[in-house]
Amino acid sequence: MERKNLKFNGSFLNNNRAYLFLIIVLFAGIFRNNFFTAFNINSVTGNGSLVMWLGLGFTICLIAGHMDLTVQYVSTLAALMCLGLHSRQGLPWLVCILIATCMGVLVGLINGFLVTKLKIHSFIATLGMQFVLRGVMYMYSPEEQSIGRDYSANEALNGSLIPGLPFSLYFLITTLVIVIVMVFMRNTRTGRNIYMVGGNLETAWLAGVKSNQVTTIAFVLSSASCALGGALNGIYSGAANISMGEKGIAPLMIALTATIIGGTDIAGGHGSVLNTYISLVAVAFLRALFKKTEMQVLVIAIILIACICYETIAQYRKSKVLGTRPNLHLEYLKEIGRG
Amino acid sequence: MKRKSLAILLSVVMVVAGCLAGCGSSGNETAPAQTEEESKPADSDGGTESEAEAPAESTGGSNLEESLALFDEAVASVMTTDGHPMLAPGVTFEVPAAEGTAEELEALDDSESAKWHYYEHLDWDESQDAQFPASPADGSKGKHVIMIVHGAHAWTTCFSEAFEQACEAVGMTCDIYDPNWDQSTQDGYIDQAINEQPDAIGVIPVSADHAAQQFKKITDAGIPAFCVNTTVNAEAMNYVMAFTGPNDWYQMRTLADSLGEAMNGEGGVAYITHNVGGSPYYARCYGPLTELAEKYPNIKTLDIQSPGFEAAAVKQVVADWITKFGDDLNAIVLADDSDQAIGTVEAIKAAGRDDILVVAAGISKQGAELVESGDLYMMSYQSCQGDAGLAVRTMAEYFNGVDISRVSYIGTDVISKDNVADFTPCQW
Repeated sequence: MERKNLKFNGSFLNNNRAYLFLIIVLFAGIFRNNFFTAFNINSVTGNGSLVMWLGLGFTICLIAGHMDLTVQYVSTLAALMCLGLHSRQGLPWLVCILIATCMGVLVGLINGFLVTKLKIHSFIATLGMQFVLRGVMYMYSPEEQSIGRDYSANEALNGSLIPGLPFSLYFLITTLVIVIVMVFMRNTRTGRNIYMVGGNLETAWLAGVKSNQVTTIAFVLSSASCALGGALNGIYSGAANISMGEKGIAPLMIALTATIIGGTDIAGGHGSVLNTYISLVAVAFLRALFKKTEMQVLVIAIILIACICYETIAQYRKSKVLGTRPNLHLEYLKEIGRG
Repeated sequence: MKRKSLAILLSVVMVVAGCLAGCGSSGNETAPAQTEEESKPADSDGGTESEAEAPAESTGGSNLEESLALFDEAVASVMTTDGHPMLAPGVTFEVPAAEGTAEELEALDDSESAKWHYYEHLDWDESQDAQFPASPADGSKGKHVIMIVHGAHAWTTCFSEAFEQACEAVGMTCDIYDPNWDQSTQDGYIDQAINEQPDAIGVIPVSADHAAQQFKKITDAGIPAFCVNTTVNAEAMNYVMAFTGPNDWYQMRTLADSLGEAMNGEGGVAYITHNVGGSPYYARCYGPLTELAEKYPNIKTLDIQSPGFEAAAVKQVVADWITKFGDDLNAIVLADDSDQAIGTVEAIKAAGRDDILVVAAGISKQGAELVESGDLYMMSYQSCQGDAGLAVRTMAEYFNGVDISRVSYIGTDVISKDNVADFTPCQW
C-alpha cells in the first residue's frame, strides 16, 4: 500500500489554514486572563453557534456553485416563528422547531426553483428572497420588535449535556449536525453530485447527474439547516427580533468570510463544511479576544483579504501553468504529493 | 516557491493578528489584579484590628477613607461641559399605586395617565428580587467596572467619555463595550464581561424586552448589575441592583405644564413622536398629552404622527397640519430637538405662522440654537454627561458601602430663551 508523503510546505499550510487559524487564535488566548475558563468556552462557542449554521448553509450552496444570501434572514424568521408559535399559540417547542424548519425547506425549494427553472442567477434570486423574508418578518411581528421572553427551554440549551464539559447543548447539537452533513457530502451519491455540479456543470450532465435536482437539494439543505439553527438560537437566547444581525458585524458576512477562510472555492466544486466550521470556531474565539467591535471587524477583514489574495494569485498561477503545458500541473501535483 | 512564500505570508499575517489579540487584550486584565496589589500595602498601614481580621478590615478602612475623599472631591469638582456637577445626586420619585392590573389599565383611554402607569413607573414586585451581592464596603478606589452601551451615536460618545472621566475621578477603572445596536452582540458582551469578573457591570439594554435575561445572567454570576439610561420591565428590575437615568415622563410632563400655561389653557396641540414602540415614544408623546388633558381640559389633541427623524419628512407633516387645522393648531410637541425641530421650524416659517409654539425634548446643539433664536419655545434638559455621572456615582456609593436607591433619576429643567445660556455649550 502506497503511503502518502506528508510534506510541511506552503501547500500543506494553505490546505489546513482553518486549523492554523484556530491554533493561532487559541495560542493568543494564552496571553489573556480567564480565556480558557469553562464559562468563556461555553459562552463563546454557544454565542458563535448561529453563524456556524449559516456557514454550513452557505458552504453547501457555494460548493454547488451558487450563493445563498437568504441564510441570515431564514434563521431570523425561524427564530421569530419558533418563539412566536410557542408564546402566542402555545405549541410545544419540538413542534415549533419542526414548523420553523419546514419553513426553511420551503424557502430552499423556492430558491431552487428560481435558480434552476427560471434560470435567475442565484445572487439575484436569493437577494430578492431576502426582501421577501424581511417583509414576512414585519408582517409576522408588526409592532413588537422582539418576540420571546420565554426561558423555559433556554436553560436546557445553555446547559451542558455532560457535567464538566465546557460546551452548551446548543453547540453540541450544532457540531453533531455539521458532522452528519459532512458525512453526507463525502459519502453519499447526492453529496458527491453537489461537488460535481459545482465543479463542472457540463461534466455532471455528461455523467447523467440531474443538475437541477441536485442544485435544489443544495438550496433546501442550506435553508433547512439555517432555519433549524435559527430556531434553536431563538430558544438559546430566549428572544428574537427582526433586526437581528443587521447592525454590528452581520452574521452573513462572518459566514461568508469563514467559508472562504475554510478553503471553499468561490467558483464551486471544492470545499468542506468541516473547514468552515473550524474557521467559525476560530472566529468565535477571535471575537472574544478583542473587546472592541471595530478591532474584531478589522482583524477578520485582514485575514479575509489575505486569504482572497492567496486564492487569486494561486488561481492565476494554476491557469498559467495549465495554459502553457496541460500536463505540467498534474506532474506538479504528483511532485508535491497531491497527485 | 512563490506559492510557499504566499502561504508563509498568510501564516505571518495570522500570527501577527493573533499576537495583537493576545497583547491588546491582556493589558486591561491587570486592573483587578492591581487592585489587590494596591490594597496589600494598605494592610500593613492599617492594622489595629485583630490579626485574623486585620487584612480585610484594615485594607477596606484605608481604601475606603481614600475613596470617600476622592468621591467628595469628584462630586464638587467634576463638571459637565455646560457647567453643571457631573456627579450630582439622583432624584427619586414616589411610585403611586396602580389603579388596576396591566390588562385593566390597557383598556383605558390614551389621555388618562393611569393607563400608562407601567410604562411610566418602574413598578416591580420586590418580593421577587434576586439575591444581590452585598456591598464590599471597602471603597471605590481600584475597582474595575465594565459598561456595555447600546450602540454608536453622538450621544453614546459623549456618555462614554463622561463615564470614563467620572470613573477616573472616583478612582475606578472601566472598560466600555459597544455592541453597535445589535442584540446578539450585546448578549455576547454580557458573557464576555461576566468572564472578566469585574467589580460591577453597567448595561444600557438594546432591547428592554430582552433585558431580564441579561441582568439575570450577571446577577446569577454574583456581579452587581446596574441598568443605565433605558428603563426596563418589572421582570428585569428583579435582577437590577440599581437603575439610573432620565425620568423622561416627568421631564415631558414638566415641559407640558409650561406649555399649557403659555397657551392660557386653550388651543390645539399636535405631536411628533419618537420611534414607535420604544420607551421615549410613550414618554414623549403620552407624557405631555395626559398632563395637558388632566390640567388643561380645554387644550385639544389634534393629531399624532411618527414621521421619523428626517427634517424633510417632518416638514411635510407639519405643513399638512397647518393646511388641515389652520388657526386651531397652536402648539407642536416634538420628541427630538434636532432634525425634527429643524423640519418643524422650516414648515412654520414657510407658512408664516409665528404664533405656533414648538416645544421639544432636548438638549442638542441644534435645539439650543433654535431656542436662542426663539424658533423653539422651550425644551427639556436631559444631561447626557449627568446620566453617566449618576451611574458612576451610584456604583461608587455601592462600593463605599453607602445605601443606594434602587431607582434614581438625573435632575431636569425647562430650557427657554431666558435661561438657555446656562445650558451651553451643549454636551453633544
